Amino acid sequence: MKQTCDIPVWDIPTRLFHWLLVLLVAGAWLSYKFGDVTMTWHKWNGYAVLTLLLFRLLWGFVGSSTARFGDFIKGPFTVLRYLHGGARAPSLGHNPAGGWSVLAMLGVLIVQAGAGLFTTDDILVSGPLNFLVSSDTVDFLSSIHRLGYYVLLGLVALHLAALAFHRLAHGENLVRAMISGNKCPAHVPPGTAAVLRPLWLAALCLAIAAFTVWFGISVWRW
Amino acid sequence: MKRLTMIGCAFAGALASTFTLPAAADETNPYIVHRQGTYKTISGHMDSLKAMLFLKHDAQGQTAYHAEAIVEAFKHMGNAYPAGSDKGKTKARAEIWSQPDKFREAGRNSFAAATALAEATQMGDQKEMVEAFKKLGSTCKACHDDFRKK
Repeated sequence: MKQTCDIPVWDIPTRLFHWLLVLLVAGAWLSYKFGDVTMTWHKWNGYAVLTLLLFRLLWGFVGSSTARFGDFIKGPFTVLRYLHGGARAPSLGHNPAGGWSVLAMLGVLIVQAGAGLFTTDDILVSGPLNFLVSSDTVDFLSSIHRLGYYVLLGLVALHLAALAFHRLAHGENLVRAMISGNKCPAHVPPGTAAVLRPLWLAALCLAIAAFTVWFGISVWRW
Repeated sequence: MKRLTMIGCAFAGALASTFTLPAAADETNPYIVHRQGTYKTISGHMDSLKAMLFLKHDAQGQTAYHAEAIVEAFKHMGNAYPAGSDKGKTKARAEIWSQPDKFREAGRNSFAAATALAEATQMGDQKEMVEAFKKLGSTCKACHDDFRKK
């Protein structure tokens, strides 16, 4: 039985956010591992990650229906019921377990990128806010930044495992949905579709996010 | 109640300690005091060079002084890690004493890079100084990665 998979689920800003974040998380590692000793790329990569994260937080309040935290953050009993049912119940956007994984991912990345602002290599490079805190605090935040990488790897692995599970167990291609923005009718609750918000609003959120990052880094030197 | 207060104080103290300045070097072991002092000296000269080479501080005539001071400081680090100098508050890893040849090699790399930087400052070519400075930084990092606790 052939069906047209044309139920709008993810808006363009959410999809762009997702794939840019994938690139930047990879970029953060690459620029650390293979970058110049001055870590210029790693720093700019971090500012970009922070900007994207702030954008996503804003979009989680004013964005399209499936992008909103209120839409996908569910109570623990709902999550348990969902998992107990074999993660089978269709969701339009994030399922009850996935919603918490989104929050975890955002939280870990915010801590990771935020801690990076305070770190130093004790040689040539310091984060832009390094001078604000004592060296003990710097040591602590540097450890967070170093260990956060492994927490992030764990979350990414969990994320990929969940994708593979939905693909193999339920035949649902979530990667394609995050590219095209649409899902098949069989995989969403009947009669539902995302309520999309205009692109200019996303652009405004991005501008506010970028300004906030720039301001947050610069204001301490004024 | 008294106990609770004590726990509260201990907790507040631990919390406060993350916001206060670090303690001075561990004076129970003079070797640690000496080498940390010398590393801080090197670090200070690195900062000054950074101001000139990266932050465009206009004092190019002084780059040679700072580079030579780093070379000079390294010359006094030949016996900075004798047996037993791991005792005390230090970030020195056990590998320093278990892989002495590798550690000496790392030290020689930094000394060579510092010497090359001092030569570059004599020539005064901006680009070569920056490259030599970055090279020195990368030899510091290589040694930290292998021999310094995080």
